[in-house]
Amino acid sequence: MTERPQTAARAPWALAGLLLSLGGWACYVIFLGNAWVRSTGLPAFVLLVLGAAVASRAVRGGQRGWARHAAAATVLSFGVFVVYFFVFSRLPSTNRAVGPAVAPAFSAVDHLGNQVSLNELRAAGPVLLVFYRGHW
Amino acid sequence: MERLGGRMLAVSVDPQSRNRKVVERNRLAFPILSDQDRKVTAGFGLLHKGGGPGYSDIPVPAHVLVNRDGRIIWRHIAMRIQDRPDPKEEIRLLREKLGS
Repeated sequence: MTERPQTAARAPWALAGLLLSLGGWACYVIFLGNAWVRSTGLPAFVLLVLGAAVASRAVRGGQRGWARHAAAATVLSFGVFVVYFFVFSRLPSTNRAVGPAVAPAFSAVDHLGNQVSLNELRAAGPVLLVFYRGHW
Repeated sequence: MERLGGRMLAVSVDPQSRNRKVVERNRLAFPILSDQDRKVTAGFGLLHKGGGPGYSDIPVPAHVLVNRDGRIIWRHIAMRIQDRPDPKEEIRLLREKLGS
């Protein structure tokens, strides 16, 4: 079987695919401060899928060598992101729909060492409690 | 929250000394409560067992709005580590719930 003479001209597909994949990761990391990007990961997903699709074109076009590795890398990259996003990052569904309807009374020490009780706090007005994972 | 007649407090499982440093370093305008024995976290059904360093129990990131009579009138509980309520959306919801 003869090599297609246009093999060299097909190189951009693999490179484009890699760049798209890198772009996917980059945009997720760079825009992590945006709540929508963080919750849906949509821009990253779109770019990673595109990257894998584009790089695969190079392989389907009969190109050998590094193009195959590039395509594999883009597909793997997409897979890693899926695992990170849906598996690794998942939290247990802790009473999400149900949970207590009434806040349990509690008393805790604030950062200045003062004892603080929920009952006292809410007597003065509504209270927004923000729970952090901690370990700062 | 203060403009709406209320207060905001953070809850973490770190010790009081650590929380003090965090407040100072970041110049936070709200207090951080220390829930080292996880009683508050568990009471709100927010315990993530084994989710922290060394498989320690930590809270699931959450925002819980408690009104004056103690009822929980809004909550946002994270489904994934990165999940947090959108700040603009949250402010809008707070205004709506607390009638401003």
